[in-house]
Amino acid sequence: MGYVPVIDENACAGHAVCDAIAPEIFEVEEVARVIGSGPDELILEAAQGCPSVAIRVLDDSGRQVFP
Amino acid sequence: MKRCIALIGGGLAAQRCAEALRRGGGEQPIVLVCAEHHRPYSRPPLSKELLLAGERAEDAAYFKLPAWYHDHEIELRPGVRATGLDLRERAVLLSDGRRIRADQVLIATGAQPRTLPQLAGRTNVSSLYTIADAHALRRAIIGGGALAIIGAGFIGQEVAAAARSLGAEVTIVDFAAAPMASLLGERLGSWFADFHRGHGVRLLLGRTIAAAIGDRAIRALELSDGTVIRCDHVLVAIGVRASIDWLQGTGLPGLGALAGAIPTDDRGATSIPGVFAAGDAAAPFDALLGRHVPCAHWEAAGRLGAGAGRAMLGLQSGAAPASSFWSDQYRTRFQYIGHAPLADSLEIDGDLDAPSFAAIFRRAGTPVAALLAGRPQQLPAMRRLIASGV
Repeated sequence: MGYVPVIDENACAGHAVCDAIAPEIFEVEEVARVIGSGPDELILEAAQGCPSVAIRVLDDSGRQVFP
Repeated sequence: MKRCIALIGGGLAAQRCAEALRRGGGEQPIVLVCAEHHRPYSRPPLSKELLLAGERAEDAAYFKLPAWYHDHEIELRPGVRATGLDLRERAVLLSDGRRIRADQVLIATGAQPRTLPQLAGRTNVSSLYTIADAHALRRAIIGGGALAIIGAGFIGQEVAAAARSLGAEVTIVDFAAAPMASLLGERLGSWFADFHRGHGVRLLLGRTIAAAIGDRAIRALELSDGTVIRCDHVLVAIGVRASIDWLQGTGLPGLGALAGAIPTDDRGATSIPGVFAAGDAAAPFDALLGRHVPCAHWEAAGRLGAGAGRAMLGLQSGAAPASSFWSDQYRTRFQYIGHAPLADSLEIDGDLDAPSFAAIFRRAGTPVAALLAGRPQQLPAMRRLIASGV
């Protein structure tokens, strides 16, 4: 259950905003990787904060919530 | 002594290069030389969060905790400058008198702010490029008084926005008729001028600095049209030039004519095997424009640094998408992608007052660039639009 973040590695420029907002969920080295899970709001906040808009957020039915 | 990889520079490009080397399985010793007394940090917050929040925002600017460098066996040399490169001996000469013998070298010494000779030596004139600059500028802003910003580019605009948010009186002076007119054209440039005027910034355009009035500290600036503006602090934000003077005389090709930065391919490789450059010091070849173009922006610097790291290991990199650039001003995010100066037409869709709009630049009907204001979620679509057009 809950939101799932998906990184577009081509779009990711390694800003690491997601890592700063949700270090339990994202880790950035060169590009971001998903390393864990967390509350929906935190995933959404990280995705919205990404300057490259490289994080897609899907809900549990696979529907895109963001962007 | 075992030879190593020397990364010269403590910014984004060197950091991403180090990460790429370790992620790619590179086991050679890595020495990372930082001219500043800090471990590598990200510069974009300097004109945004660090001005607004000061030292509280500093921790977030560092890419990694100190332990990361230890854990990844990367030797940091903070407070040390490279003073020369001996290509025959494959050695980097350092300001502390030591040498680093290296099989491979990344030149990522960044840039330094351009200055105005007529303001040299004054006590209340500064630039913004380092953490120390940001803290000093914040002290000047919160100390009260009038801030004069010379240069209406993105840095000047971001500082203006932060300073207004902190309650300062702000004047921007620029020689162009509209901010960033050479990049975005006069129509959008004028929009930015109005945007800042709406937030209480005074913009004096189409004018240059004729004289600085005051003794050690500047009390007022006289402009080319005779206007006199009172100021307590002056920020010069008229761009940067690559910090590559230390390479003069080394025989590194491409420096003779001083193209402005070191020419490289799209992986940061120079014409000397084993010598790479990335970040503000580099000018990678741009296939679209058909020439070497200074790396200049954050995303491009990170990609080139990472690409150089992979190339040092003999690994390939995928084709990079067009880099975007972003700016935060008064809680609005601006994003720019592509090459607007190529365009022959401009279409603006959305609400200019909100602001929430997409400005799309086209050449012969084909999208070549876009500027988004307050519409970050539209960036992926714009990136696809421009990629498909070229």
